Amino acid sequence: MSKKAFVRLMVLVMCMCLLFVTMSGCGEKPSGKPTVEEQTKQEDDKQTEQKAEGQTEQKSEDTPQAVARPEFMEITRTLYFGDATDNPDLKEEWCKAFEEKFGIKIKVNSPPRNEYLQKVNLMVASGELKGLVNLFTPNDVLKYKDDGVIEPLDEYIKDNAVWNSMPDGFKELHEYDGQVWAIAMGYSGNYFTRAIRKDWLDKLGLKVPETVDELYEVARAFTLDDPDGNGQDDTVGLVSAGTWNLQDIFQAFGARLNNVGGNSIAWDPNEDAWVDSMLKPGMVDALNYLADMYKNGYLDREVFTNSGSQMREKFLSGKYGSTFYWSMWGYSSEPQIQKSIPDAKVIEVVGLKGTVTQNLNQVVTTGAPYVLIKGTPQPKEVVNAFLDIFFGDKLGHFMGRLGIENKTFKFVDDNTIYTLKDPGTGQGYAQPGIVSEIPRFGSDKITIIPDGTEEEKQRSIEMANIKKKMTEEGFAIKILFECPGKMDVLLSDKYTEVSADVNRIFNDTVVKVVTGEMKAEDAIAEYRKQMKAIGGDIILQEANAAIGRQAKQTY
Amino acid sequence: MTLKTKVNAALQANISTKKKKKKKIFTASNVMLYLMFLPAIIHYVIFSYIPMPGILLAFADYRIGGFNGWVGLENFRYLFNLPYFWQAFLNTWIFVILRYLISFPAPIIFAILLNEVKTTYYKKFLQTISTLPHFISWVVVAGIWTSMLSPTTGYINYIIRLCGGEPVYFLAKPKLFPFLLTLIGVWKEVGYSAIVYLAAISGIDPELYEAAIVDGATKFHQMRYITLPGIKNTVLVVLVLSFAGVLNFFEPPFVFMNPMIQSTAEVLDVYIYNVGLVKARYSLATAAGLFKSVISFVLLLFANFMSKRLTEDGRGII
Repeated sequence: MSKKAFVRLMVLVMCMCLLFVTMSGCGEKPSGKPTVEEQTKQEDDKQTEQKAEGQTEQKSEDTPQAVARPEFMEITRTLYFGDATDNPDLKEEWCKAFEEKFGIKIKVNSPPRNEYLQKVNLMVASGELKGLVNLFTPNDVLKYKDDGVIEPLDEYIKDNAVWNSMPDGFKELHEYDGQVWAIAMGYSGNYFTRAIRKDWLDKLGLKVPETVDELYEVARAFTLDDPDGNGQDDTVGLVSAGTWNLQDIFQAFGARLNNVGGNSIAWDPNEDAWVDSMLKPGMVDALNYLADMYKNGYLDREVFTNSGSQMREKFLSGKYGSTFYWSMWGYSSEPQIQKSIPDAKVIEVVGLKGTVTQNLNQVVTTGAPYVLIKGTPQPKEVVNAFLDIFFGDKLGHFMGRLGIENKTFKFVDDNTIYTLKDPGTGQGYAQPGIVSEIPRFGSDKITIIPDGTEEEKQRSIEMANIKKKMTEEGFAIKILFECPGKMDVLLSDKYTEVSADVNRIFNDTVVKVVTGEMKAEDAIAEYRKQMKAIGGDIILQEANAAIGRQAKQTY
Repeated sequence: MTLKTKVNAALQANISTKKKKKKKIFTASNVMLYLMFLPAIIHYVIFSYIPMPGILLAFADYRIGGFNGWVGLENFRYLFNLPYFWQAFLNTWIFVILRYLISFPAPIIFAILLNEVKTTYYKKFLQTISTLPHFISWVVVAGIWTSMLSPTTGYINYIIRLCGGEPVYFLAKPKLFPFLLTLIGVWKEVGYSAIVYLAAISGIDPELYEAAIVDGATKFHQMRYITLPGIKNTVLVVLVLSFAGVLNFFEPPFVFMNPMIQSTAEVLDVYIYNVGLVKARYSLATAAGLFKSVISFVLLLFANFMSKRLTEDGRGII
């Protein structure tokens, strides 16, 4: 073959490749003819739709009938028995056990936690993913809804007895534009509390702090007064991963952060409106308070580089005195700290008072949403089976939460469940986490206790009682509050578009002030400029308009 | 037919045979070489040529739900108006400059110094331990150096404290970060990158050094007048080849990223990942990627031009 001919041949091959890929890449154009595979799928979908419509029509005339079970269910959820590559045997065994118990073949996809949404987005975009997919936030649901990749569920679930028996709050969690677009994976109130080393408080003769001023004194003493008594300067008052575990301090100054502590645009219960706390006078005080803590070393110097796991590890190391994290985590972490410090004790504070004394700490009632991807085979059957099994059936619900009956958990009686230990490791098993707590099977009705010594079991019961009491007291003294409706979801197209920038501008501002690089007033002035540039005013207008209010602030 | 004519005819025949031979692409001797090259061709076709039409997404509104129509240059307009795009672009170039000022000469200097070590075992020991970090992934490197540089528990700050200094929060200083990451990159890659220069140095005729010693040349003179000119061509080839991929820089800043250093650590690739892939704005990510590719293409042409100018035989790289 001559060189010229070879080059010509190669060019031709390349051009054919490009042409072929271009044509196949544009195959999903709306005007393009469907392929044979697509036609078959469309026919299947149409049949399913017709079937569903037929069933609906019939049902409107007669009494509701049970929906047939699907042959196959596909669920996508992160941290299913640990992360993506953890516990492969348990993952497989759970699916087999599910099929045996409920006669439905099930597949659970579990992309890695740190890139879960990216993977899920790509799989959905490429048409690889069907079934029920667990997203993280209501904003993710809105994005999927706007992009037209998920189905509204109303028609499928309107006659489902389990769905209809759920609290209205649960049913309305993911209702947008009058339609239900997702099912929350659970519905139970939880909140953050400030965990504090009680043994250090006792040793230094300090009382449990109730205000931010008292917390400052505690942090100072924890850092400077050698609370562990080893004669070394090796203890630190507070530990946090960014602003995530400092939210109670912002709240006490009336400068609430959003529901994940990621930025300062939040629904303010005292003003009943969406506000940017960065524009409130309390934010200057909160930032100066933290800057002072940071400068003196009372706040961990690695606060802005700690990850969540590093924050937890540091507290568990026994050298850090306090953090703000999920309620009961502090109490439950006592045994771990006691491994290195036998007399360690932890106490939890439900909220700190400051310039604001009421409606400080939000109880989160939302569960991460499951959406139904368009094109899922037997969509109605899948959604109804999901509701019936995981929210209506006791065994199904606890299989979804705790794993495999008589392997990872067992029913002791109607009101008690033991979570079992892996004989190989002596530790509790990882859990599937397909669903979380709902009122029907709530902790007030069924107690879940780790199987262990009597002392350990007694401790679990005590902890459940402590939480109950703490929650009741928190509401009674009006430190805890629940968001009415969907007030913890910022409904704004602009926000959906620029949320990453909003978080970044917020972080920049906090970091600069807390580390002493800028004065609070100057940093906030810079913040205003940047937020204005990315459309911050539109965000506040849209968010308030969504709840029938008018924005009270401008940048 | 005269003798001259016969000779001319024979010469012509010989030349045309040679020409014909030259035109053969596949010969018995080189067919194995082409076969060995085949996996690389397949790799490029699958991963570089087949996905190439994907650049059309830069001119489309493509979401999770699929294609939503053509939008012309709208994605580029949007991208160039994003608040941090140009900051990321500038950050990328800061890293590029530092790479050519620090990372590029480091293995050359290291190779020259290593070449002067006369004890073979010690030389091999140095080469081994300097090459090892290359095989550690950037994720692990980030873990190692984050621990080393920690202001509370890091060894480096421990030494600073022992010397009476105040702990430094290295990974929270945005202005310091580009230098820090460049130096960590040097630690990771200097040994491995030096291999090619060591090979080039070993190809220099030892008689040149012997003659220089006779003429009274010092070690520095030998390096200046023999070693450096001897590896000049290798250095130039490595330099010009590195230009094309100069903007591809994702993993190192990504694994070290934290909110305190984001203003200098967020380079173009990381920004594209954050605004494009994380937020599922694929068209925007493709537009940013295409923008970067155009710059890389210009740099490649520049590298080719420089190669022609600087190499002794005037050959380009493309």
